[in-house]
Amino acid sequence: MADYGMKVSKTGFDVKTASLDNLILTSEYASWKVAQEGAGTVVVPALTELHYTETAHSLGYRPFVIGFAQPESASGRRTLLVGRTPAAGALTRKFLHTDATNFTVIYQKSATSIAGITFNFYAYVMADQNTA
Amino acid sequence: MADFGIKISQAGFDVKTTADKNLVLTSKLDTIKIAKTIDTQRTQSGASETLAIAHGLGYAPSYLFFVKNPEETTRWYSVVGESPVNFHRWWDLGVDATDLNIFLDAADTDVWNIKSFFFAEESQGAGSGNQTKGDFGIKVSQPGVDVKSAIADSDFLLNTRMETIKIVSVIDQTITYTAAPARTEVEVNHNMPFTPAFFGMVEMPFSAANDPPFGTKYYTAPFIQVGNTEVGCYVTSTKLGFFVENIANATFNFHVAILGNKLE
Repeated sequence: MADYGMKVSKTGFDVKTASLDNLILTSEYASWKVAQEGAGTVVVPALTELHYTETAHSLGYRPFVIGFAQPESASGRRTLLVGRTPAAGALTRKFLHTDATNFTVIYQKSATSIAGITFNFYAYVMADQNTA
Repeated sequence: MADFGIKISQAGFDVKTTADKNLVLTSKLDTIKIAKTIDTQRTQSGASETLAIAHGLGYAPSYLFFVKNPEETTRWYSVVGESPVNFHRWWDLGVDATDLNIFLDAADTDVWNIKSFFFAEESQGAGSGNQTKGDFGIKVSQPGVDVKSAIADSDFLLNTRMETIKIVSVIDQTITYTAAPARTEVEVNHNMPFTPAFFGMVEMPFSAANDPPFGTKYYTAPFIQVGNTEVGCYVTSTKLGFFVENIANATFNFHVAILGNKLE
């Protein structure tokens, strides 16, 4: 590491010599910073399979986004939005895609889902850009 | 930005004028903070099971977790997947204020390893975490909150009692997939002194005409639907791996952050 900057080590480690995994924070690397966060819903109103909610972030580049959503309507749990999970079975599948303007949360109805239900999600949009 | 606070820019950028994306740290924005890390080794009981990992935070945190399945014992995958030979499967069943549930489907007595990072930031919005009061370190509170008396995890923009998610690098990788429906893998060196956590996106080549509202878009990885599409990443002690198994040939673009947060 260059001989300047700020480092904070975990308790019990010498900040001058601690390895990266034992640092709480180091100015050598960017930390995930939340540019925007908020709740939303996807309403499944009818018989078609895909329903989605688009949310503007207006960053002008594709950021990291981490989102969590109800696996089923009225569930007290939240699952990470990573493509199609669960990978198999009848539960509703959830997607999250991101571009330079919006992030979009998509629900794909399962065969046993009914119309007229609402799914809640919450997402954090990072200021950090998702590219090398 | 208000004329106060802490800002640190990346090398080569003027901290006074650069955009937020070029900052290492800014007290203007909340920094994602790891409130608790849990290593779990689980010997599966029965043909499949739901594993409950108690986090003890008292709120439903946001999180990342990584899995080493019984078949591929040098590879760490993210929150959903299937092993290639014995078809061991796992996926995220979600978090609440008590625990994180993960579905495990290998064979009775098979051993799984799971590493979970639970964040101070909640998965359902504002809440009332309460574990990090302490009289040392650097703390920056949310606007309107007294930094000296704040105790809830969510009251802080930055709190050095909690580890940050450190972006060491972002690796871009294109796979021109021509082996449908077989699996293709590409590995690159991550150059880390330990097995790192990772997080990224993959551009999925959906047809907007046939599969609206998708189009060719970047999805949080992995993107897995068993039997049709299995696209994602894994890490070993030296490599970041990318895999594609799809019903049709196409091009897949990955952008994956190597994190300075250790899996093992």
